Amino acid sequence: MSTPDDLDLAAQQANALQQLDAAETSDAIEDFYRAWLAPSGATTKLKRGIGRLAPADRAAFGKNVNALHTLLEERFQQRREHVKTRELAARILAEARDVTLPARPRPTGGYHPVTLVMREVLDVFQKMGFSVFESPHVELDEFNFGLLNMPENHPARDMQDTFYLDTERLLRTHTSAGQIRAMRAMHPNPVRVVLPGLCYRNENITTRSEIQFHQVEGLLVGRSVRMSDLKGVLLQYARLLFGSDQRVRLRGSYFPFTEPSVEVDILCTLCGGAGCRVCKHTGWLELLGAGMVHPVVLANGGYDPREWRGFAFGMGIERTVLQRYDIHDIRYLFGNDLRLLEQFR
Amino acid sequence: MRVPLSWLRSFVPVLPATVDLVELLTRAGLEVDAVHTVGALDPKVVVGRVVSRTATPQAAHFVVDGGPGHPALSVVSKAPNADLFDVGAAVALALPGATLVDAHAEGFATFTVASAKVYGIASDGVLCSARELGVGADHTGLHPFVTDAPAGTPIATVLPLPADAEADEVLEVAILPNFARCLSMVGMAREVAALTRADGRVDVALDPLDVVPGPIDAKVEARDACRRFCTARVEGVHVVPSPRWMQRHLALAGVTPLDLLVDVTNYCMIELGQPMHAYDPARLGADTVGVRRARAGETLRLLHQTAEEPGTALPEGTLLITANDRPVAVAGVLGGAETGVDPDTTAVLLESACFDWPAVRRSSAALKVHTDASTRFARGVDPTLAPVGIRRAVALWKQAFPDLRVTATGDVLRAPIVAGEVTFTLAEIEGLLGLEVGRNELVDALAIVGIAVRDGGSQGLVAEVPPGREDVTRACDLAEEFARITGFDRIPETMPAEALPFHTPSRRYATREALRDALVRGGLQELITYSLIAPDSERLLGAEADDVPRLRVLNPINVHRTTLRRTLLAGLLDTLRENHRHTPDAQVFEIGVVFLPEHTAPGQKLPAERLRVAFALLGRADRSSLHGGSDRPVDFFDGAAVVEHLVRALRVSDAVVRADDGAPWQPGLSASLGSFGHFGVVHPEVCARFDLEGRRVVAGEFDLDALLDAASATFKTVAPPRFPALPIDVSMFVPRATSAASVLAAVRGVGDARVRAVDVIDEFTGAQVPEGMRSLTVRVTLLAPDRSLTVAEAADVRVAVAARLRADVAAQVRE
Repeated sequence: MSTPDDLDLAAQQANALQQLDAAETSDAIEDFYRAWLAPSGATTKLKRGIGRLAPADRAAFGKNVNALHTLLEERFQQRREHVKTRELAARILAEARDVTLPARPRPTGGYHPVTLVMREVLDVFQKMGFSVFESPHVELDEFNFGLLNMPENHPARDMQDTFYLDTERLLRTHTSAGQIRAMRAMHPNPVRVVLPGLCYRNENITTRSEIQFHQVEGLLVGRSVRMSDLKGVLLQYARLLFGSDQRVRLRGSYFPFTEPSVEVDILCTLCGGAGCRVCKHTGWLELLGAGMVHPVVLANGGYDPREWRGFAFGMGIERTVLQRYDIHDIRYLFGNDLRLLEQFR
Repeated sequence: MRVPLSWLRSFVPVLPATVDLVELLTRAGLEVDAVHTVGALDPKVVVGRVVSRTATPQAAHFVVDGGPGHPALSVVSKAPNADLFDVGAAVALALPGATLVDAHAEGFATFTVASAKVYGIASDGVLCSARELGVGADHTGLHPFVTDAPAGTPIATVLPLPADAEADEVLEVAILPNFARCLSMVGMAREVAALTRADGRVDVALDPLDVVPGPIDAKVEARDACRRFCTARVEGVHVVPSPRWMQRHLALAGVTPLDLLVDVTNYCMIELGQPMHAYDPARLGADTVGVRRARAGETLRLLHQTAEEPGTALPEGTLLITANDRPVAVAGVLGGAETGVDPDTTAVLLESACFDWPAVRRSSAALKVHTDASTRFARGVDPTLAPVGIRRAVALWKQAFPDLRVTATGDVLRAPIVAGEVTFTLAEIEGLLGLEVGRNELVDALAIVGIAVRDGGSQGLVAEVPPGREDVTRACDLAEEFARITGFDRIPETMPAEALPFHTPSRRYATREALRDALVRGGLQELITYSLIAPDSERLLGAEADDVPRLRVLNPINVHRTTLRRTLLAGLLDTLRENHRHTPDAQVFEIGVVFLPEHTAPGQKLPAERLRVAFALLGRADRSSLHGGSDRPVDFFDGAAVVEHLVRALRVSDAVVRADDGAPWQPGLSASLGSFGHFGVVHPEVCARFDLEGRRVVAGEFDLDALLDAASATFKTVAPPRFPALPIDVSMFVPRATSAASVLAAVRGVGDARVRAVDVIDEFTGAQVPEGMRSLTVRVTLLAPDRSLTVAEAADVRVAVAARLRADVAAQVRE
């Protein structure tokens, strides 16, 4: 009984394992697979050679060929895993970079800081049920002053330096100018609005003052509105914006269109009331001016002051912008120095 | 209003600690802007300890321990007793910035300590005498005292202050328009007394005017502007310096002392709030004066003008004081130069009037002259004060001139002065404040500020308001007084108890903000520029006729901010101009209002305000880095990308881009977007005018109001295809003038439902392209919802497309 040389399984096995051990790359591994294990590979050919054997040898040979195939398959898998792991390690090593190099530039836009603060303020008031009402920049003297209980030559006009277009028209000096428009638009229903917008004052441009600035006015008119509601609403606002431990404090003040009039302070947002440079060591920050809508203003808006009451408040946006972002010169805001603005990207 | 606390204390002897007083006043609506200190009360005057003393030929050179921060200050002292201060001795050390009493001035004056060189030696402070500290009259040497206090301790905590101390604190109080009464020491004192519940009434000691032989008959013609006009002729006076205490109070209150005759009028004004003017009857040439409005062409040389200066022209209607019909003063503002007190004066005619605020405000504004008197009249003066002022002035003069005689007085009153009455109910006050108020509590609180409350029967309550409190006319005014006096802290925090309208979202507002978000996401930086511009900067654009209507302000702040803008673009280009040297790459946008007076709605007085959105790109579109990349400069299609982004964000469906030339754009590189606006490459000449010569700017500006009108609230999606798309590329030559848009339109014109998308994917002009033509390749993407398309179907579509292109745009389709 003799076996042809090409069917000498021991020799074939030795040959195959030598090839496998020599395979160092994924490509060589795949070559081995094609040569030995693929349907067209050597083990299949060995199986086909079975016909040349004596019938008595065939069963044993078939078994041995299968064993060889299984062995090679197993060793192939191991080798492939080994090569893959080595190759991955090599690739990772090759790809490593100095991760402290600067990032690749990526174009990004940015908001003007006034927009950031304005949106925050409006968001909170909208959540509290206030609707946004916008009114014109160019206003009639009547709406900016007269109907707000500031007739011509009224001493309170000293508080605001006004840009006039002619004797009748001016650039609104405060968003309060929209109060009458809002009331007349809502009458005879109750009113709960905020009026955001750009206002103008004829002031010298300095580090602290500008000829234009943004205000948000709030106006609430109902049949039973009280000053305590003003305090409660502003407390709620301060807590939503600055945290649940906020407090509000009212101080006496004067606005011709509100009576009583107050300044509203909140705990200093920097030191929490302990006293610091920002709050000039008082623990309080001025939030806004406010008050109960003056009966004359209610009447001018179409609401009978014997049946209706309201509160109004008005806050500047820029002061918060300067405080929050530690900007020491208001002129950066509309001077649009891109080196400053791009920090908001 | 500057309030020296020593003066305030003469009315309210016991004041709270200054820091508490500041808080009390600030919370009651009298905001204290600053506290100035003088002498021993200045915290910069501290206990110093002598570290060493060296005698020099002219003076003693001390090294003094001034406490933390100043362990070894070099101070030179010329005091004769300097050699008594040995190492370790306590000295009163004034640090730089401290305010001391000026011991060398003739009258009362202060000075501020500054570092200096004395006999060539650095001196960083002053070792003080008792007089400089304001604790005594002695200025013969350093003030000696013994203390255990460590160096740096404020001297005020160590040195006892005598009752007549000149050391002082001065509050600077901001007076709001409804606090006119507090433009006086008495008013401030009443307020402080009310807030501190101090006992007793705040009042001024007055002598009766017992000698009234002949009345002065003042001719008050302008009765409509003069509520009261009191006069007194006072004889037996002459010009002498005022007593030191008066000078001190005046100086600390911010008024320069002159002589006793003038100082007394100023003193009364600050003490009582009643402005007065002293004329010299000899220089007046008359025994009485008149009040009338100026006639056309009248002039007057004012107090501060020299004899060489021409008189100031008085606008017609200005309220005047006259003598023999000749102007001698602008009523309530300023006296004339030729009729006031002078060194020869032996008698004065004293005027103490109550002018109405509109008249004084008008004069003050027209002449641009603001005085302590006009400030008070402009806010309203209590009409009961006019005769009080005269009595107080006479009393003060009498201290210096015991033989003084009042030889005549006059008092012209427009109408009797009556107390105001306000009818109100307790419920009104409670409702306004949201606070339960007891009737007695209300009555007590209002009594403190001089408002009496009585029962008004069925009407409720009646408040009797004294003259001088004309700001109190309604229940809400009483509510404010009550809250101010009892404290706003008592008002609880509640939420509105009634149904109010909910937040109604405005889609316009939301869409505008969504666009802002989209532009920021798209890589642009938001700007907010000025609404007021110089029209020249818009003229540089050359986009509109030079004489296009513009809204100018009558009183611009400077030449750069005179006119309301008609464009946003000029502001953006100005910003690039200011920034491009340090920031060569900039992609910016603004959303803002422009003002178009010609679009004013019929019957409306207000000009059309249109919302616009504009953008500008400068420099590189991409930025290379050490990681590679290109430094490609921006071009038209970067602008087109912004526009596409904007249109998509607003979901405007019918915004067609068309080639469209015109200023300020570069011809051939600009386009219109529907009727919403224009974009493109800014003309090189326009760039040059904005100092951007040689830089390429791509920009655009659109009518955002119109875009918002056209924006869609929502849109419908298309389901992702279930079968693969089949793209076919069609290359063609088309005449150069044929736009890509028309090619795409032709392809869509095939009207085949399977054509899902058409894009231009290549453009080529070169040697192989026939003269006058260019090569375009469009990719037609085919898709069917229910099956995979076959190559044969694609070929059919291609034939149809090619036919259409030949017919519609004269294309030579290449096979």
